Amino acid sequence: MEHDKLLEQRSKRCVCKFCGHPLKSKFIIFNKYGGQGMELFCEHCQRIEYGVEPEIYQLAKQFVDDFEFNYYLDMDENNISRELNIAKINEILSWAMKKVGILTEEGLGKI
Amino acid sequence: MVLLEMKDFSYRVGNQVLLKNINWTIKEHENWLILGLNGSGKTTLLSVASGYLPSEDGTINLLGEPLTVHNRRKLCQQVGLVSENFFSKYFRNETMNDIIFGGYYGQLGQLGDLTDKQILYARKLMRQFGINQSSRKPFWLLSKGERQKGLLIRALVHKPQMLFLDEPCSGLDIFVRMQLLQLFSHLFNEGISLIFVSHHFDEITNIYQKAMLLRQGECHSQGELTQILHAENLSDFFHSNVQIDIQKNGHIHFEICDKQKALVINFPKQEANKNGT
Repeated sequence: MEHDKLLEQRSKRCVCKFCGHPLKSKFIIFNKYGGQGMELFCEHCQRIEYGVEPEIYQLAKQFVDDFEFNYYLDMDENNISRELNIAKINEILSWAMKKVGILTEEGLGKI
Repeated sequence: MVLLEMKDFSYRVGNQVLLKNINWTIKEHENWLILGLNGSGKTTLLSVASGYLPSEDGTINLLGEPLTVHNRRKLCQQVGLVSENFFSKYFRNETMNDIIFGGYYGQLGQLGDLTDKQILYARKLMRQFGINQSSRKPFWLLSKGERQKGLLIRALVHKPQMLFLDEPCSGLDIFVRMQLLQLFSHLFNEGISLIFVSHHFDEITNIYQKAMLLRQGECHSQGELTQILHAENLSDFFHSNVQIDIQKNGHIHFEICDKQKALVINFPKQEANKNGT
């Protein structure tokens, strides 16, 4: 799929893997001459973010909160480390779902 | 083959001219050294030449193609930019992992899913550079050295044809600095052209054949390294009497002979209180 089209679709469908808020597609590097290229961005976190499927985010958040999962033992326990943990689980779940063929560029399919 | 060609290139921000009438050609297998004082436009030059900063004033040909909004992304994927000065304007809360993965796409963030092979290769480089653990953390939490290493990995993941290095050794300890300087020699032997910006003459090794001196956004002089790093030329460039000695092993001894005016701060005198204490 063409990159800009893919980003546009992800901005409508996916959420930030850290906070779960919606994403926007926008130019981050630009000047009076134009933009460098479309990026996905989370306005809530103020970060460039490729995003994750919302269903996967909900699972990851539940896992981290219910099981008190902590991959970042060298960091203080606070909202930053919690969000980093959720993002980590999101990455693992997304990887696994892609491997078994449930997750594609178009999003989550049915099992 | 000409890798980069800039013709009559200027760059303005508001009413400020950051680069003025730059004409610069980099051929294959050429390594360039760029010297300039603070604020001379070195970072802007590298970020425009590498396709990261858009511009239309003058012409730029990168890897044999005119650099336009349509092919910028494709060309950016074939060159690498290592510039903490540039990227720290855009990265803050992003983890170094995500920043490095964005390197595969020639822009800031990811544009698609990565293959296992791509992830494993990036991880291998992270381990080699010793930032495997810290790469999980946001950019703002990392030390200057960790950022420099991460940005270098970001530029190397897709094996670029040209590598723009904007003060890559600043903030690094002497051991890592030595490792990086050796790495640059290795990259040159691998056929990657290096464009190296530095303030420190002891970082200049014998792999550079060409040099450019930038002053207040304008090219003061450019050409063969031995001609550019000549005492007379450098004295004119720095407006100061300098001595330089390039030794056979490539080491450079540089000295400013004029006495530099020291910065003096006069603190306001505090009035003694009534008790005289």
